[in-house]
Formats: sequence, C-alpha cells, structure tokens
Amino acid sequence: MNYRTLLISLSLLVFCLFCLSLVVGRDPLPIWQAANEVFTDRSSVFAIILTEIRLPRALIALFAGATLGLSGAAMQGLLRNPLASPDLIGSSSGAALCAVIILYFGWQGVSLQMLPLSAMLGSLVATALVFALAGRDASITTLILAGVAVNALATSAMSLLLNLAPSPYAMRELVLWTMGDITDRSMDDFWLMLPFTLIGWALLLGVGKQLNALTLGEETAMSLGVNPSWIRWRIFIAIAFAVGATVATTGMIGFIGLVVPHLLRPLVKYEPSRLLPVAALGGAAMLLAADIGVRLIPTDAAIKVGVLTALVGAPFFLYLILRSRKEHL
Amino acid sequence: MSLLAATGISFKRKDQLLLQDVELELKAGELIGLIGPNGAGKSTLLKILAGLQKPTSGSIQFQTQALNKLSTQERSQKIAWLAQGGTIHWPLMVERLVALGRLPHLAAWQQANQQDQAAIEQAIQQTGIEHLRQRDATTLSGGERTRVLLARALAAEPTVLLADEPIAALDPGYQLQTLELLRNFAQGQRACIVVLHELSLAARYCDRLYLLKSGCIVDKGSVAQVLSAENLRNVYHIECEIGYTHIPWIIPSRSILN
Repeated sequence: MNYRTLLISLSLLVFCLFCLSLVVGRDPLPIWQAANEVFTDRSSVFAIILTEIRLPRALIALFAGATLGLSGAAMQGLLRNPLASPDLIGSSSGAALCAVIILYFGWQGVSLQMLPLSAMLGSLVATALVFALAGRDASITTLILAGVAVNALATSAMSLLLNLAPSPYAMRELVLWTMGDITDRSMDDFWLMLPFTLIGWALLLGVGKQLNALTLGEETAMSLGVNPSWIRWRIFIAIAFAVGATVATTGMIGFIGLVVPHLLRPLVKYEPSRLLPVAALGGAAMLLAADIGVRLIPTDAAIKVGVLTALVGAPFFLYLILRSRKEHL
Repeated sequence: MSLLAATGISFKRKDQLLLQDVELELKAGELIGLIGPNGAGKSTLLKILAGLQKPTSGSIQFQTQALNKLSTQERSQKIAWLAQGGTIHWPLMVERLVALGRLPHLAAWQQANQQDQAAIEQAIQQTGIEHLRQRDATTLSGGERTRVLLARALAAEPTVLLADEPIAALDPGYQLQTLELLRNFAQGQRACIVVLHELSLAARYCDRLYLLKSGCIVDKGSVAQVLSAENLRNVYHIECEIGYTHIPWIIPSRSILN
C-alpha cells in the first residue's frame, strides 16, 4: 500500500468511526432525524443527545486519540525506541498528578481553565524533571531511567492522595478519573482542550524531517543541520501542551501512544516523518473504536475507555517484549 | 586554494587534553589521510572540523569564513561527515536513507525537487548501489552499508567530505572500492579528509598524511615523509618493512611495545 492510499484509507476509517460514534449507544440515535432537528428544533431530545452528548464525546475521542498516537510516534522517533511513549518520560503521569491534586482539593471550581492548565504544567514539570535528572547530553537509556523514576514519583504521590481522600466518594471519583474516560464531557471541555492540542500538533508535525535524520544517530543528524537538543525540547513542550490538555479532559488513557505507532510503522516503511500523520489517524481510530466498544459491552457499570485500551494494550506490550527477546537470542 | 584550515586547535574533556595545538590545512582537490594509533584524537579532530564539537581553543576557517560564523544549514550543505560505524536505528529503505543527505538543502516543509532527486540519483550511481534501492538498510552487509552511507554523504553535494574510518571491517575489495570513491570525490574544488588505520592504503590513495599521537600532530606532509620507519616506530611502536614499487607498501613485522 502506498503512502497516499494509507492516509486516505485511515482518514476514511476515522470518518466512519466518528459517524458510528455519533450513532451507537445503549439507545441508538436516528442520526438523520437528530441532524435535521439540530437545525429545526434544537430543544428536541434527539438534537440535545447529538449536540450535547454524542458530538463532544466523539470529538474528544477523535482529538485525544490523535494526540496520543502522534505523541507516541514523535517520542519513539526522538528516542529511536519502539517502546517509548508519552507515559515513559512522565508527561502523562505528571499531568495526571496535577489534575488529581486539583480534584483532591476541589480547586477545579475556581476557574474553567484550572484543570487543563494544571495538567499541562504538570506534564511540562515532569518532563523538565526527567531532563534535569538525565543531564544535558543524556543517553537514551539514562533518559528512560529518569522517566521511570519520575513516573514512580508521580504515581506514588497520586496513591498518597487517593489514600488520603476525604471520603469514599471522593476516592472513587479520583480513581475513576485516573482510569481514563470520555463520558459526560461537554463541548466546553472540547473547546478548552482544542487550542492547546492544536499548538502541540503544529509543533510535532513540523519535526518529521529531523526525526528522519535522527535515524542515523544524533551526531550524523547534527552534521545534517539538525539541533537534537532543540528538537527534544520542542517535542517535550508539544507533548506537554497536547498530552496535558488531553489528560486533563479524558484522564489517563494508556497504550495508544505505544501500540498505534508500533503497529503502523511497517506500513510507512519505518520512516519517522511519514509515521506522524499516520499514527495520529490511527490513534484517533483506536480511541473512537474503543469508545464505541465500551458502549456496546453489556455490563452493569460502564467500562471506562482507558480500561479497555489497557486491556488491549497490555497483552500487546507483552508480545513486544517477547518478540524483542526472541530477536536478541 | 585552502578549503579548510585549523589553527591552534586544542580540545579538553574532563581535564584530559585530547587535542593540543593542532594545525591542519585542506586544499581543493586533496585527499588527506589522518593516521595514528587508537585514542590519538583523530575522530575528535574530525568532529571539530565538521563543526560538531567546539574546540576548547583555536579556530577553523572554511574557505574565507570562520566555520563558527556559518549558519548550521550552510555548514551542513558544505561539509559532510561520515560517522565511524554508521548507526541506522530504523530499517529505512536504502533510497530514502540516501535522500536524507538532501536535508541541509530543504526547508522544514519543503519537498525534494528535481535538483534534489538528481543529486540523490547521482550519489546512488556513483556508489554503485542501484540494485539496493528497495532494500532495508539494516540488512545490508558491511560493505553495502558503507557505500549506502557514503551515498548519503555525497547526495548533499558537499565541498568537503570528512570520513571517519570508512573502511574499518571491510574486505580488501570493498576497501579499495570505497577509497576509489573518496579519491574520485576529491577532485576540482572538492576535498576529503579520511581517518585510516590501513597504512598501505593511506600511502596508496592519500595526497598528504597527518600523523597524530596523544592529541598532537607528530608529523605531516607527503606519504614518503610521514610513513618513515622512525615515525612508525615512535608512534605505533612497530618495526615495519617499507618498500616502494609503483605504489608504496608497509608491512608491520614486529611490535616493540615492551
């Protein structure tokens, strides 16, 4: 499959899943009637379901999935490591920790932007901490180890807050939030995450050629005019914006950033620049599909979308480890 | 005409002096060999000449301009650097890997144009890797990989090529092929510096040699002058048989390290 066909196929898949996400639910929505009523009778039940429940949910799944896929592809390209993801350098856990702090103290009511801005700040601080720990000219191994340490720190701080939660209800809220969820989100949530997400995307999509050059190692990339430390900061800041905004809106949704780029890489002949838009589309498709999946799974309590992506992603991660072990034998 | 000139280059890392007062001049049309034992500072010197590392002291002139006054893009268009070993992290297709050589000529969102494609094609043909175009670059043999990475460097159409041990671990056939390519590159207004351990090949292909030991230039000049029995004894601690038929040859006969 050539690159253009791949892009078109994935775009069509995302479009179909997006439309399906508007229709599918415990109670299917007559989409044409609902769409018609959006223009004729906005107060009708179908119009309200479409514009205030299904549309924000589908849009958030689309943008959050694309952010996770794109960020994963950029991280893997930067670190030249197929096991890298925004989770690895603490971006996600830093964002989650700050969001949990805001929720714990009930500060989310202070301002609408409080939660997303804190999550972004958390993402940036965690990433900067990883860098500070690893040192200026850190090797990839040192960087990954620093990421593991910062992740452990953020996770343990989150556990402490959960442990100290003032009531079982508050604890349940915090736990459910860290599982990753896109139900009960409004268009306000979407509009809030959109600008930060777009800034992150713009920064990430412009580094494709530099990521290609890094395929030959940092020094050769430098001889080709690339400044590796500038690229690192650009990617980390972009991820802080986009992943921070996503985590603030959806909670922690794992494995998309790891699995999607890995699955799609052979289809772009392993070229990091071509993987970026493809992984964004793949991430959007995966999160839309997972979100449709959780609506269709007949359980008493709704399954959180982050739980489903982890259930699919974790076995895949194990498969990657086993395959890498086999390759090194 | 001098293309690259290093004056008083010293380089210190963690209180260890790796290069001391190095003077070097590369003229148009020249192929210069950097020789010396392991750890002599050859690779460090090459990186400094490529602008990849800043010297602790000293200056480098590229043609009429100071190297550090050139923009990163200008520098990478004019000086190509071929790394020792040549890491390839992802299994890119050979053709796409060679195309990376054009990166210094392209703006962030600019796609390769006809001129870029022509340069890539020429580099592929010069290095004789047409049959490898669609191959995964990580599955190539050592000799094939060297030629592919050399094609990547040539695709940039640089004025100066700095190659760090390009023939290490290659069989004699590939060693000769690679050095022929470097020899052909160093013509007209272009020039090349190559780090070598194979003294007979250095003697066979290079116009001039620089002999390094412990970060200092011990001797420089013509092949006959630098590859003297005395220099080789002092620097490599070896006894050699040196002869000249129609080309020079050096056969190390005994180590006198102890």
